[in-house]
Amino acid sequence: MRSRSHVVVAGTMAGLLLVLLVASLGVGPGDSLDFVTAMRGARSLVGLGSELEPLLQATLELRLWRVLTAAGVGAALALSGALLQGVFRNALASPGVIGVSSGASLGAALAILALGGGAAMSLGAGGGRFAPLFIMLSAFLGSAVAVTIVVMLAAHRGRVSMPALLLTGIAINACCGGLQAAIMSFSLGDYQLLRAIFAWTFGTLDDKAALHVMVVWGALALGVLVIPFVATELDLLAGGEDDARGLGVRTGRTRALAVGAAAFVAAAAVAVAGQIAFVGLIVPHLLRGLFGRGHRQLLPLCVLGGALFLVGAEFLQLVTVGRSALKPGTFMSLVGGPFFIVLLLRQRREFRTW
Amino acid sequence: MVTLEAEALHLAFEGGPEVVRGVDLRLEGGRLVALVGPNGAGKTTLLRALAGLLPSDSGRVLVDGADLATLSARERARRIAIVPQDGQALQGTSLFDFVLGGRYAWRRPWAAPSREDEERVLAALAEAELTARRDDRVETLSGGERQRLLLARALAQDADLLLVDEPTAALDPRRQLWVFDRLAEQAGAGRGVLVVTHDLNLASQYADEIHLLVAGRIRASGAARDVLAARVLAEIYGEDLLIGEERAARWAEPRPFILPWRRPGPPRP
Amino acid sequence: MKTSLSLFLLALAIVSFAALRAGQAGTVVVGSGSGALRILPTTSDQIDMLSELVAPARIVAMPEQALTWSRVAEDPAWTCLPTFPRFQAELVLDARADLVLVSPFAEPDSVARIRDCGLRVEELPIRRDLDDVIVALRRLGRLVGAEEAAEGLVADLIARRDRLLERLPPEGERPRALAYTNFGSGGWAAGRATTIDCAMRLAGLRNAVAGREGHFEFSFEELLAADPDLIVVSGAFGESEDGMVALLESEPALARAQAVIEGRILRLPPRLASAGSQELVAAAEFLAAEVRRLRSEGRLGSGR
Repeated sequence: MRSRSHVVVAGTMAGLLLVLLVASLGVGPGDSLDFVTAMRGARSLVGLGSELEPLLQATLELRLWRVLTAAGVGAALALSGALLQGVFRNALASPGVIGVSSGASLGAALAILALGGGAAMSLGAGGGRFAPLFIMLSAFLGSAVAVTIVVMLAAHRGRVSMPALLLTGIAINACCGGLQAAIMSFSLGDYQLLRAIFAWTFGTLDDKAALHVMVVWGALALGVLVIPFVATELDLLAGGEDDARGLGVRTGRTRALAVGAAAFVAAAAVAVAGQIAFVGLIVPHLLRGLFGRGHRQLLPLCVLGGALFLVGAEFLQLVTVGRSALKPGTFMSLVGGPFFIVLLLRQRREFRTW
Repeated sequence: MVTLEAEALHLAFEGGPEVVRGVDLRLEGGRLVALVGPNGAGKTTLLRALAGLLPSDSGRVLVDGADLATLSARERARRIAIVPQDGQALQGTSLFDFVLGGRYAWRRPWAAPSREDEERVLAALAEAELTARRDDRVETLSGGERQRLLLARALAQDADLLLVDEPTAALDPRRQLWVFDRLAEQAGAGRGVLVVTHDLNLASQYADEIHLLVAGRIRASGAARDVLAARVLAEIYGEDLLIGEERAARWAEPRPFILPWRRPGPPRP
Repeated sequence: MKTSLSLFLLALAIVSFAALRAGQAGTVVVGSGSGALRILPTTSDQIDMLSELVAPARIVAMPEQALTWSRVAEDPAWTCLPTFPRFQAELVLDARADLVLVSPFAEPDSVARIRDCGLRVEELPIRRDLDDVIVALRRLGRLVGAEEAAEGLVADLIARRDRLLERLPPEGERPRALAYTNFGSGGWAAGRATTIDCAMRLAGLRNAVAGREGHFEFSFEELLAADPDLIVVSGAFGESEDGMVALLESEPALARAQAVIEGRILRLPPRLASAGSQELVAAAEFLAAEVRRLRSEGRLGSGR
């Protein structure tokens, strides 16, 4: 019974996501491609019907990459947040809060610095063939180092206290932010370098290409493959390290897999769209409230929910304010900041005992 | 017949002093063994090491003659189940799902719970008299119910060795007896049961064998009457004890009961 | 869980399929190269230059910031053109341009997407002095088929530059000037290899921070140490160059700076402020006139 209702929820969410993905093709900052024409053109994307006139078809494809990138990035961030919250047994863990995103950003900046700005403008427009991969790898290393530091500093016997987690997060965000600012101010003279680093820091969903979609969805696919190997284990870890080991869980492996996957998908998300805060915090929290803590349901639902959340937010923005829509990072911070405060207020009793 | 043996076991906390200093111990299937001793004697540490959760500094633990350290986590969990002292801050799952956790070592990583898994879980819940609450959330349980839930999960684990840490701390007298009845049943069914407890009386009544652990060493081992002798107890707990004996048809010899009893005059060490 | 995993893999398959199909479509070629008719500039400088070369009808859209920064900001023939809020491929496609002009600062992803669509994108390099501006004007003239207008403009600029050079005071008498901006969150100054440096030199001024290159952050302490004869405030939004003057005059730390004490603070209007266009010469003429005014009012002696 229980698992069937989750399948219904997942099916509904997937259906809604599909509808939103298609509907998003009909809205954009420009007005030459209207909804009806876009829907006609959308059929050509799956092999039915003829293409639109070239410029409109190109516009349609821009919107397609945009919305697929948004879906992948939202899913990756939410999955990363849910994994981290499971590993740290703490609802405040998320790629943004504990420094995984800023670690990835710094890693990317260092790689760009090593390559030189011209070689690596950004993922889509890169000069060298392997430059994007190199930057991705470096971003992943950056985020992995950030999590490792959190684990070393904040975790005691597998349990992470609220203050330890938040303080470590503040420290890591400050270190990464500071180093990044230092790199940027040393490279003030080289505008190409600066531009490349800037593009990674303040991301956007504008003007993406198939490569971006492949990077984020590819990383997401690897992350999703990890779910069956950590979901039950994370549930059992909720009772504590000893408890889980007593039941036969290889806790070290579980932790390494979950943290590795979380860092990897978050790095990919940062790689294609820059830092987008709070998705990794909000989505798992909402879904946990609605459907319980079991990771076998939570993790797959977060993949769907994260995609739905970011695609939906972008869709609403484009419909309501249209061409002057805010960048996703800005918008999410506007929504996420107050949400974070509400979260803290609701759990005030718990925090008061610090 | 399943056996669990400790050979010259030495244990220490990371960088700390030695807590267990050379313990030899043997647990066989079909027997209920109690490990008693004063606070800080190293009982829980020893239990964790016997369960394979704590690496030993020297000496080793054998299960059926095989070194515990060479077993995989799953193999270990299929043979040894632990009932921890306190269910930490359990929350968020239903009782059913919580007890299902005990089946982890028997399930394949990808698979949904099998029919056998579900049957075992239901049987364990019934054993712990929690069937009616199987869909309730764990955080709604009282302290005593929580203790039973932990027992149910260990039973669902279906291991031949059951290591139990202070199972009666939060329970009223009737429930204390109830828990030990269940443990005795398990021993009767051929399992080896090791109980760490403060409660000398329950140990005296139920245990086939008692080990008295003092400062990391086994001070005395054997039948209740020998281990819980007045001379030995006075040495460890002081003189303020009232010791008596009870007989029962099922016992070959009478077994002692011990009450904390303040003697007149200034307290003696 | 198996169900959701298969759902996800299905979604992945659909995405990959769409990606492959769209990848096959290749580039869309729109319009032809020479004599671009529909031009889309993306910076104010480009609009400055285009305003002398083509009719407004050939500009399909211009960036919103041009309404503040460009010389056409008060020209109704230009201000009625459509504007776009940020540089984004869809907006550019929307405008149906056949020539897109970008600066080296344009978002690389967006430029790549526009090129993918077969649109002609030309990047004008950064201008650091009048020679750069002349090169850019000639190139722009060729791009839009207005070589003659461009040559005429260049000739005019050279003549005006020569006139400025003739009136240049001798080296020792040129006042030391500092190009300074501050919106309240820290000051910036311009050294060598900037258009404002070039304008100041043509106006008979010496850059007080000629030892450094480009735009850089500049503290009050550095301002006191440089102790310029006059300060040129520039790069203002709307009326806020007055705010910037007020900030300089009310800052206690600067109470002993000569230029502040004697009120020698020149306000460069926004449209002249960041002129990587022919407006560079207009900025120089403006500054030269201001310096003459100060001299005639007796507020500026010969340089130290």
